[in-house]
Amino acid sequence: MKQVASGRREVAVIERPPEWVRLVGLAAFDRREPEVRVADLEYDSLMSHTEVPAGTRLLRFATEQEDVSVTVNATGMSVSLAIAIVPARLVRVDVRPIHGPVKHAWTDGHGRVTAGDVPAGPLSILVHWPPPIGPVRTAWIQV
Amino acid sequence: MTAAASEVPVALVPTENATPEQLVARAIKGDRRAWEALVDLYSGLIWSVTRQFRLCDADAADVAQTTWLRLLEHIDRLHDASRVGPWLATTARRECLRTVAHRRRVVLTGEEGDLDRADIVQSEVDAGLLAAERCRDVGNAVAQLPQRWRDIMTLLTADPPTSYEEISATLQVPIGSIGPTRRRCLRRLQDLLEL
Repeated sequence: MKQVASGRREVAVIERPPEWVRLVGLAAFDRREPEVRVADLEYDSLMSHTEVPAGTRLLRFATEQEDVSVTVNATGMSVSLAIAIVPARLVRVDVRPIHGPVKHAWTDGHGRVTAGDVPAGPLSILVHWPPPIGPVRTAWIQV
Repeated sequence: MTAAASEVPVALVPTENATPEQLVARAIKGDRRAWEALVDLYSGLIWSVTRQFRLCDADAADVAQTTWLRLLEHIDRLHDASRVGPWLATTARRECLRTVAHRRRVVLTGEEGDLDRADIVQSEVDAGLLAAERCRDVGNAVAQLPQRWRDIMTLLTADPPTSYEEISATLQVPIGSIGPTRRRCLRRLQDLLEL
């Protein structure tokens, strides 16, 4: 029975959460953007068996019409991002990490842009496509 | 009179008495108090998932934050708003897996001298790995339980334990079913863990 008791104790990994767990949940509400369409995560090389170069991660977000591909390269506590958007336009892109300031950048004519020294952690990318597409943001993702 | 017509309008139900489904409906409309009530209701659940994966506080915070942000993104697209708790648990679990996978691929080292200390800390690491492995086995066993059982066990094994009355109210299950479900859960876990 000792073993059973030990097993039960290990099941009991649930603890009352520290206050900061509640606070991050409350803070999330301030990032509500009901007016902006969301490009959902369609592919994450981290969760697939696809071979990618070491330290590189591929992400793809999509709506029915638009596509945002991101190549993430880990560089210690920060990451660099190579972003490609479809349809390709000269547009402003906002990289919005939870743990740092928003970085603004502009895509080139091929819809490509890079952003370096982005703090690791959850982030979302906002693409300012002009009308009739309008702004689209990626789902939140941990990088 | 139809069932819908006999229901009290969602907006008139006090937040403290609202069901998860009603809280979701209000949060969709931008009701911050409803969101706060959801956070109060389910923070423990998300935290427990991160503990199962033994994440450090910084990673657990990122998982919790991402999970809540994901709910905001999907809150008006949930198949069944009354199942928001299990939805959050599943999302948190996926984010934990993402974090673990990321940590496995990215190894950060400080000064080179730190590597020289590897032998000294090896036994601690082994103990940690064994504990993590045991934890993983338990986590795998728990993952094989039906979702409803997992929800009940999550609340039952909270510290301090959640009362049967609270569990009944939170999960909308008959209070009389909690004890028998607990017994069945533990029996199944014993079998799965070969205890």
